Amino acid sequence: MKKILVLMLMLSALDAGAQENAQYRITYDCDAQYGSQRQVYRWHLDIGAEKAVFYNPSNRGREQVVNEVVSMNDVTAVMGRLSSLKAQFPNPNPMEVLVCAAPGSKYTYRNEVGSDKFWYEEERPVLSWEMTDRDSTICGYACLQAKTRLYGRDWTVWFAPEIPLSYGPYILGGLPGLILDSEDADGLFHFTAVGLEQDPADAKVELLSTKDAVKCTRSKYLTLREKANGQSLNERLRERGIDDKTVVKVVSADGKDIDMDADRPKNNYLDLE
Amino acid sequence: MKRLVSLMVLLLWVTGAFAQEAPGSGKVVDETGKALQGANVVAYGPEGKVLVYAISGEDGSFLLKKTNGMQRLSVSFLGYKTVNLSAEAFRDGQLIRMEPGGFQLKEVAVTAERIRESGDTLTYSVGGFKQAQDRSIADVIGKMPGLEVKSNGTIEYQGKSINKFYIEGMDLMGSQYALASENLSADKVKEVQVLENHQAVKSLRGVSFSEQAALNIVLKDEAKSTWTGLADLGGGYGNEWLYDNRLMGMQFNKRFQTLMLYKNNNTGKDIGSEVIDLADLGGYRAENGLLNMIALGGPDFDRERYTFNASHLLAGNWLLKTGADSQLRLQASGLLDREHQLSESRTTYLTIEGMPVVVEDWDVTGRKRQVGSEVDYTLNGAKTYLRSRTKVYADWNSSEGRMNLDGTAKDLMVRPWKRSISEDFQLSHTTQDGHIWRLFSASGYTWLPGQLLTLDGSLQVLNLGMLSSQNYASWQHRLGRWRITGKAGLDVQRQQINGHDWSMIFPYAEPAVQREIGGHTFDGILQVGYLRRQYDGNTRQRVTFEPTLRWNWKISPLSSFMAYYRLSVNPVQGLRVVDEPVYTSYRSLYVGTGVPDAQSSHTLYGTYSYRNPVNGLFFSISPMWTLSKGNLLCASEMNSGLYLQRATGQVYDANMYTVNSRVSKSFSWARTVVGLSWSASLSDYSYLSGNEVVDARTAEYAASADYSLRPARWMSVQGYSGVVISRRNVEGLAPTGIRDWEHWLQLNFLPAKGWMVSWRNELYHSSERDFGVNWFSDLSVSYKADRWEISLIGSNILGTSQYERVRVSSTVQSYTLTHLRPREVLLKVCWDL
Repeated sequence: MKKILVLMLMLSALDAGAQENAQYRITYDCDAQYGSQRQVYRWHLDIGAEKAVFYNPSNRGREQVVNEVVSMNDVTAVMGRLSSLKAQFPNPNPMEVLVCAAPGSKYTYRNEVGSDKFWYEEERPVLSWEMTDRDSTICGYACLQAKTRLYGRDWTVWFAPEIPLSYGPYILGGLPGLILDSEDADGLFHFTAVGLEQDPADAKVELLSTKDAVKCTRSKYLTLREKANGQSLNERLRERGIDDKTVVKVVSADGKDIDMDADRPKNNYLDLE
Repeated sequence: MKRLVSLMVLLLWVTGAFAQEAPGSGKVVDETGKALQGANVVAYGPEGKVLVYAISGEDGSFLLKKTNGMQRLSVSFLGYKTVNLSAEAFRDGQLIRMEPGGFQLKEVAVTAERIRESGDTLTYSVGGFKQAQDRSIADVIGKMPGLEVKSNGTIEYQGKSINKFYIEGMDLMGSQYALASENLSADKVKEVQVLENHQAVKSLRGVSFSEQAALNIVLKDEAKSTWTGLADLGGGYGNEWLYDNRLMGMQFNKRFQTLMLYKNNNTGKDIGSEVIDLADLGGYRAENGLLNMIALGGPDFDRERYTFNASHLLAGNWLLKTGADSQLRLQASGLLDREHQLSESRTTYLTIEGMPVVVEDWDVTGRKRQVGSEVDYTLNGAKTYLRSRTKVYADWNSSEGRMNLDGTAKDLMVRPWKRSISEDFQLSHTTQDGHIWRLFSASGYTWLPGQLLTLDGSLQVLNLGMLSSQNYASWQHRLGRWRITGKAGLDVQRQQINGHDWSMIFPYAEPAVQREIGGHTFDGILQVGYLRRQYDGNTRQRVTFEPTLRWNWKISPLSSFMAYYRLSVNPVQGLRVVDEPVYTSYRSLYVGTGVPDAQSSHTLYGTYSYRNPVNGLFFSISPMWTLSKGNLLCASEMNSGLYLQRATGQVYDANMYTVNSRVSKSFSWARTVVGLSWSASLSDYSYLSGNEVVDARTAEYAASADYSLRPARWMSVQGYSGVVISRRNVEGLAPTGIRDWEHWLQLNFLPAKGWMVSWRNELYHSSERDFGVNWFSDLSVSYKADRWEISLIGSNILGTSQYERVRVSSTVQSYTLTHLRPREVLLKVCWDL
């Protein structure tokens, strides 16, 4: 019985790998704290018939330009393109998640630690939702409030029963309606839906390629992430075997010196544990 | 088997509350009987409360707990009509068949993020705030929450003036940024960035804190690296032929920027203010003399309503990047302006026997002829900062005219000429160890060869020469979290007033410490100096101690607090010391004590600001208290029509309390932006009435609301309502007070693509009955194509051409007449070049 169940879950994960077109695109703005500053990140949730992908369009646009630039031979042109990246694609974030609608399915997570790319598959946690009596209207939809705990963070969300899609930002979901707003109890992340679109053009429900990423487990990924958090540039270079003798000078794209030992702000993560 | 698995999975998905009671189940299928996976099954209680819910599994089955109070069961699935069943109609194991139906997502278009935050930079999308009626970038900046454009063109962020106005990251405009903000078309700008706590000196970033923000204008791609421009041609008629023209050319490259402009008008619009220094760059500022142009003033209306002008402005700004970190900037401008002022007044003195009537008719023409130029070289490297700015300015301003006093004509003439030359120099270097050396010098000479025709018909010459030089050298050392600064400086001033000589010399030492603890930064500064003043051989000297304490607290990423206390000692300027009567207007004289005194003042200032760019809420509040000691008391005399103010040896203390606050918020609905401002200012001071010292208090309270919205595609609304309450309490007299109201509302209708009808209404009223209710209305129709626009503008369509005011008190009855601009029509064509 147990074997059959595992087999079924594996099959459903394989099925999730097939490409499908997005039928809906939900755009969220996330007001998030990074170090001591707040930044607004834009996210897309592209929903297909069986699964949905959650990604940062700024990061995808940036990746595309970087890939184009890498194949160019003209150094001046490369520097020119790279220096305008920040303005063109503000606040990029490399995290992407592919989630399946089917209850008990797995999700695929892709992210970067430093300049290394990783991906893993993990069973979607079963969320225990507590309904409250509060209601609100978001993007013209009547919404109800619910609360849950996911990977060590407490979330308060607003979902629209009128839209029978049990997804939301990140891997929040499983409610009888689409989540249009979610905020964690520490006030570090606040996702708000800012756009709803039907049949977005040329949108495949898939992750950015996992070919250039290393497959690992969630626990391995968390260990790597913890180690790199707050690491200075010098420490990171030394870890890679590049010492002071090798690196003559490190400068940013606009030619400014980079303080190799400056404290980097500690990241905040959507998952705590 | 399959059913068993689904059931087990579903068991995991139902809410915790289900487990306690007996389950109910069902199955969701489509019209052909095929199972529907992922359908939402929700049991609602009273008032739409969700009691329990489930999501159908692979075989369409769901497991729901029956619960008390269930009123209906709703089953929904994308592409199918939602099935609603009453609690009674729902049976355990029920098959729910769904009919295909058009579920259409109510789409919500993603607008460009109106405000985006990235570290210390807030980026406002111009498209997110621009309304159809906006033309210049200043029009749009005024609608961005947190930002405000003052009537003189100054841009404020969270209640504080900006310190830089960059275009594409380059400082082309220096302190005269109104020339760009008022003339750069909003259509050419993509984004406006606010760089919070902006330290312009790269090598001091992270070391020296700045309270002010800078603005950066990000242009659209088509406006970059190419010549662009504007040409406006306007002509019309009111009482005379009217013109309003502008020609502007500009280019913004990575290595070169320029903005050149010529504009003229006689429609009442003030263009001279576009070339005044708005940002304080911390160098020499030309000094003011005692004479001023004659200003008759007018009612509390928009100045454009009663200004009869003919103005021409020619200005050019050029910036050349001479290296990766260095730039050379040249700015030059010339202004020719003629303003004609007319006023009539009749004052009847009711308590004087025979009730004499004084009739004054004024006919004055003010002429401004001014030229100014500035050359600025800046090297802003990662370690070294060097800046040299040379500035020259000269004007031949004059006011001439005639005043009729009780039938006797008096000629009026004042020439408050001013010429100045200055050089500012700054050098700073940050060593490898993070220590900072700095040299600073700001020196200049202002010559004011003024002339004045006085009441008795004689020509008075007021020749002022004013030299000022501020210099210091400093060294900053970092010791762990402490920063220790040593500074030594020398300030020198010399003022020559009609042969009298006043001078001041002030050498000082200024040790300072700075410490950061968490989000707090504390500064302690003590300036110890020797202040020596001399006036015509009379010398005064003293040792001064001037402490400054500052505390900055970054409370959270959204809010911050800053407070400081400062004691400063300032010499009474030569212009106030001079002991020979000097004319300040055709019938006013001032004479000082001849003693080179000094004043001191204590200032306590705080500011709290909160900004949340995500929901577009901005708030700031700044209270301030100033106690100034050693203010001179003046005795007033009236002799043969001449008003003489004579400084006595007596002094008084003055207290001033002010609070300024503003809250602004943008809403996604109808692109609404609402701002509320309020301020209070109390001033306690004393004056001499006869030989008696009288204490008085003036208070001014102001509150205003401004708003802009676009409730429909074919309409936008912009408006303002404000009140100013002024009160004066004088010891032994009944308090007096007035409330002045100002409102304006502009409605813009967009009946078809490109067309716009604008209707602007202004309303002024006051608690003073004689002020009356004054209403002005302007109407314009315009058509805008991609590259050109044509407008027909009707100003003051109600045709109110005179403003009469009668004021009656127990002692005086006065009547004043101000001429207003009449009904005028202007046809204007604008090309985007």
